[in-house]
Amino acid sequence: MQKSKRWIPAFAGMTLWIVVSLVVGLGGCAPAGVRGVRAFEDLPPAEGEVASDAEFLFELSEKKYCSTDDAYRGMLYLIDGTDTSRDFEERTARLVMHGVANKSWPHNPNAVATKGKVAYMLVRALEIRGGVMYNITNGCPRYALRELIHKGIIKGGIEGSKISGAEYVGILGRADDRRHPDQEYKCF
Amino acid sequence: MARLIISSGILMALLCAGVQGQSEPATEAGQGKDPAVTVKKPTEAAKDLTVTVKSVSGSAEVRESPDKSWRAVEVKDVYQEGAQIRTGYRAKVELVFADNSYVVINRVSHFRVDKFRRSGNKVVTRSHLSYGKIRAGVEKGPAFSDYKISTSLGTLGVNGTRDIYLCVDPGAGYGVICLSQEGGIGWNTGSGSDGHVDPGGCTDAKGTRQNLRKYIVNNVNLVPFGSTDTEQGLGSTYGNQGSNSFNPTGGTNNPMPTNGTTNGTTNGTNGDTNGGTNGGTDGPTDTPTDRPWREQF
Repeated sequence: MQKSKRWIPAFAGMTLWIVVSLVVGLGGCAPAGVRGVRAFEDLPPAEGEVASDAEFLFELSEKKYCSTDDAYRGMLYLIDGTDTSRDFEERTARLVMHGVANKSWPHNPNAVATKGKVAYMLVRALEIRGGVMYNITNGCPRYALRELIHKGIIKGGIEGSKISGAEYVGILGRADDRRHPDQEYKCF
Repeated sequence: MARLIISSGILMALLCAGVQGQSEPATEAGQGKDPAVTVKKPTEAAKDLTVTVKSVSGSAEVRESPDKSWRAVEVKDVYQEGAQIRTGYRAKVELVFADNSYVVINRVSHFRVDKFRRSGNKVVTRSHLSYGKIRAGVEKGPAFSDYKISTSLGTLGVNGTRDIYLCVDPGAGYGVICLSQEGGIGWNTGSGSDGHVDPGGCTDAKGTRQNLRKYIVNNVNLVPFGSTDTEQGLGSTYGNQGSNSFNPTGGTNNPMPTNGTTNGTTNGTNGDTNGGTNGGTDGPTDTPTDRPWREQF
């Protein structure tokens, strides 16, 4: 009888730990930005005229820094050919749905995009297999960047390097070359 | 008393001159004339030429002047100097200039025609590639061609060259020039280090060669900047050296190659040789009727 009484606090403690873990795991510790991500399915297209990719790229080339919102827009233009998202949250949801953006990132539209994150998205968008270290680390931005530098899509830099608008336009141009190669311009 | 009369006379004369000087622009403004337009009086010697769109694919937009809005590029559009073209993903625009030179604007690019006019026996072409990739070429003809393409990395002078591949990424300070046929180019970085760039070689914003890639082209004659006559500049081509004429209205002699004509884009090591003869192909002799730009002169 005394032996069974000894087990009661241990069982209760274990139950409490499981409950706390579930509560924390299901929502409590999620990054702030993820809470705003909506479901991708059944999203209606944006009303009004959608900016063309040529317009977006031209305006981006004149920006000093490429924001996360711009980086996501460029990625959607690259993947879908257009961006009908109404806002940043919808854009993020689409990229997460494509498996390009990481859901656990802090998605801040005004933050300057870094080469690591852009490389992470590009490797997935271009379906690049990656090297040994890239696969061992499950595609961490550091090795995604190295992979793209090796392939000539990004011209140097480190994971935390900020990207200018013009630089991102160049990266997107080379990424488009890789997605849809033009034999005439293979010398580039 | 005499001093007073003289000084008042001078004062009156000055006042009259001031009033007259102010009244002239007011009269022009009253007639609805733009002062900038009145200053620029086209002379008979200088005449603007036109650029025709031969083909378009993908998303491409044009702005014919800075005060106009962007619109979609369409085939057979005719532009003059000042036109800007921007392209999106998987886009391509083929432009044919009135002097038979051509530019193919590739995807994710912004290209601008700054100046394209004929002055006497000289055709001056100044264009600008902000970012992206183009393929350009200059046909040799009877007129003197002064052809330059400026970029943020430097200025490319073209001398009777077909199929120059120019790629500019100003954000990364990266550019590539690739020559696929005969001719000559010069590269001026603007930093005092004029020189030539090897075919397919790379240069950064300071003009330092970056041997990231090496593509070799046969029969290339590179012309260092400054080695030619200063006034003529690079891209000067005299005489009728004979080549296939290009007719933007649908002629049969089309020098623009189809896919697979970039013969010299295989890797190699002999890119520094200047072994090519400059032009001098045995093409048919040009006649005035073969060259549509003559009609515009």
